[in-house]
Amino acid sequence: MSQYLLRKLLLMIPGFLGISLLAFAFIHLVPGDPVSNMTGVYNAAPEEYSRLRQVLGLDKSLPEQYFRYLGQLLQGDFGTSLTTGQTVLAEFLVLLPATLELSLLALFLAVAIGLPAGMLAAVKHRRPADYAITGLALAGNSMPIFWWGLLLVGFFSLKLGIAPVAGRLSFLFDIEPRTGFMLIDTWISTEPYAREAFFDALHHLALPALVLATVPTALFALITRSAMLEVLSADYIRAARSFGLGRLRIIAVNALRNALIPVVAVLGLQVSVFFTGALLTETIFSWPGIAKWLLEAVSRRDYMTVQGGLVLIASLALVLNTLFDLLFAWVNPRVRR
Amino acid sequence: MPNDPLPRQPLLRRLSALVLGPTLGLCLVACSPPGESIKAKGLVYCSEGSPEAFNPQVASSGTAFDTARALYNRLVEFTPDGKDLRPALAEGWEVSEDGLAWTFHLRRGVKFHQTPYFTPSREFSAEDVLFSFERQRRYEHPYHFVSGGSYPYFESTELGKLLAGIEAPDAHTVVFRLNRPYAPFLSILAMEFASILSAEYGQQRLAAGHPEALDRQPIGTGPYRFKRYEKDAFIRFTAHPDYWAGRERTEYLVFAITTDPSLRYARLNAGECDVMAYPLPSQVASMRQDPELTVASAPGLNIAFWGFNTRKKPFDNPKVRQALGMAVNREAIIEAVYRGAAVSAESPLPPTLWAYEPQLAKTEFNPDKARRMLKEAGIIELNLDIWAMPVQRPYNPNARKMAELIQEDLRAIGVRSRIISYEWGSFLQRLRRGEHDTVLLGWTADTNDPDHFLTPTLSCAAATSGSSRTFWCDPEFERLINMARRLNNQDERTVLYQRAQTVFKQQTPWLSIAHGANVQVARRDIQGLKQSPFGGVNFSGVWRAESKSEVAP
Repeated sequence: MSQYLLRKLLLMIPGFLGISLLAFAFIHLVPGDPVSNMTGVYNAAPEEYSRLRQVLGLDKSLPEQYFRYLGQLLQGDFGTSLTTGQTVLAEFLVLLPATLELSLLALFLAVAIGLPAGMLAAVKHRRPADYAITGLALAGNSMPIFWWGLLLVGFFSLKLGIAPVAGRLSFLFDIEPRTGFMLIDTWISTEPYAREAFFDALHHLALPALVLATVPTALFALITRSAMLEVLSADYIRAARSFGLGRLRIIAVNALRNALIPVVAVLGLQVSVFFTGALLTETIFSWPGIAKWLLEAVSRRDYMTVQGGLVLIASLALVLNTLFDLLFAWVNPRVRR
Repeated sequence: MPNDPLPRQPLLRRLSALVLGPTLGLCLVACSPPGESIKAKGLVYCSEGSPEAFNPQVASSGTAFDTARALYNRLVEFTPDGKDLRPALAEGWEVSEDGLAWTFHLRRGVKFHQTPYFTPSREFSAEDVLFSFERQRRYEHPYHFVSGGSYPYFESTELGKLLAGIEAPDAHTVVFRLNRPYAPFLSILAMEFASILSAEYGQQRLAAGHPEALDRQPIGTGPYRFKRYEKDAFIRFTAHPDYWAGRERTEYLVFAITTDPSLRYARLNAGECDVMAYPLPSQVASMRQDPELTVASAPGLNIAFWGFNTRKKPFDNPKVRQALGMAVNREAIIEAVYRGAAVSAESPLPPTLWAYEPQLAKTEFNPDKARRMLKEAGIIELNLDIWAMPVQRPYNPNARKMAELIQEDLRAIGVRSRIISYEWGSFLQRLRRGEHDTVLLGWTADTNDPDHFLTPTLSCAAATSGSSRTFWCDPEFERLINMARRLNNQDERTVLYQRAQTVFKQQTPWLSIAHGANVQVARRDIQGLKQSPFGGVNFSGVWRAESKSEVAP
């Protein structure tokens, strides 16, 4: 296992180099002059311009510039926002919990709904319950998120008026951001209305989490179903049955554990899908997270934030992918040779 | 049995119910938290933008003045209907015989805000009044150049030239000495830039080496205390427990900064906001039909006009101007452009102003007569430009559409016209140079003094400086408004202004079109919200009715 671990960790290095190379190319490929793009200074006087070029190292050769950039990244310098003047890393870390909170809840929903639904469909193979679940899952899997999100907002928020349209918390609550996770912050807060704020945060999370969870839930249900079907017809399940083991015990212990293997494999591949979903969800619900931040940076032509943000997000995805690979290896001994 | 590998058992159903139940119950619909809700004591206002400062002295936007009204008081203030002035931090005042000395008697027992960043050691006094005005007036004041040293309204009202000095004979009396008699002086003191700041807080920040904090972390005497601000996100206030006019019933006040009008409306609809800033005219119609919302509108202290460039032929002829005015169907404009949220105008002054002349002759809509009058004036063929302003204002939500309607009306009397528009900055610049034939524009007054309507728009000085869009300069009109400006007796001033309005009507330098209404939308359980004719919002005395029975129908 340790050898496998080492191999996986080493594989992250070329991955990261690829990310940094793309990010480096980005600033030279976007329209406009690199000096303006990196400083936000337009129409600089000639002497000022050449000074900036020198400070930024743009007078050096491209490979030299790249290694310089790589060095900055390794020291944790992901650039400085052109609009706020804060470092990209600091802004990223402030906003990350909002995205994580939404994603984790959506992931939880997807697993908590998708897994049992898939199991149920497999157990009820070719019965009405199976057809219903499979049908719903196929629909959910092909749902255009943006349209779906707006539909839910239109119905629950604008028509019924029972769900908030935007944001993480009602504006009335003044909760100090200690962890950045609204559910935790409202739980530990000592403000007079903290408990009400906790429920309010949950209320705000429900609709966006549901929207973000839609596609993964459907996917988990479908994969669990097919994996489960395969496992249930395996010889060892028949054997277990013949030993007189209880139905629930067989499904929960013998079958589920083996059926989970492909599910975990998919989970790892879902990281980038999740981020794309989060991008749309955060836009629909004005959710103050990473995706919305990045999108706003694009619309403001804040190239440094876009570049740094992309590196950070891609690196995060890389790390998460590796973690899920390791998790996969843990549940599936056949992988670690 | 290949279709059912295992016999059915109710346990499985229980298992899935165990997992699904709590997940689906994730508070999507019903979420009833324990105890009394913060909503009963809180109020959220969906505002339109971030204020540039928390000090109205250095600010110039309506957004900043909205926050200033929550935080500060002035010596005098406008009544909610905007017609009169009433005491605020000054309990009373008198003006000397020659009109040069204004003495204010200050209210006693007024407490400044106590916050985590400042604890006042004394009550409001004359020192604070001096501090607030001397900062703007005197270059040598230690605060003058803090935060840029620019005081837009102090400068535009020319208070610097008007004031000869400010004195404090004792801790509760302040005397303002003027260089010349100036009747609108009192109403200028009711403007937001004349808010009173704490001198003690100023000294403390200065000693700490952070004078600019005065403009970012405000301390005032107003109904609400500043708590927290996040740019483009929110401003938080809490009620000032020792407010001199009585503690507010609303304990928590939040400005939720929402720049997109559609999102503001969605938030209002979903109950995330209680009050919404600047609804679009197209939204107001459906808001009026929503039983959950109340739409309040007040005739604004503004005027929309169709101005004629009196320096150009044939618009130098009053007869031509009157004829063109008669061709315009103003009723149709109010219906189509304002969707009814305006009153038609005859005078340059709105009817809510005390100096309004109710006997003024109406400009009738009469295309036949207009055609005849043009012929009498010797006009055979006329081509003109209509300049339409490119921005939306309460006095004119859609100048382009208005121009198109006027174009049609003119065609009916055989006058051909062209609609012209530029980007706002160059539009104003070209108007100043007098490149236009006619222009659709307007004016919003900052006070309820008629002088602030007439002098910047119709005086000879305005014609010279270029701030007049008509370049009209009439000796009789000029004489009347100059006289009225120097008098402090309102009855005498009214007579003069009414005569001036008659002169205006005979000359018709512009066709007065409408006074646009300021519209405010709130949820039904919000009480005490009054729409000011000056626009903007004031949360003093605004609260949420706790039960349905308290809601006014």
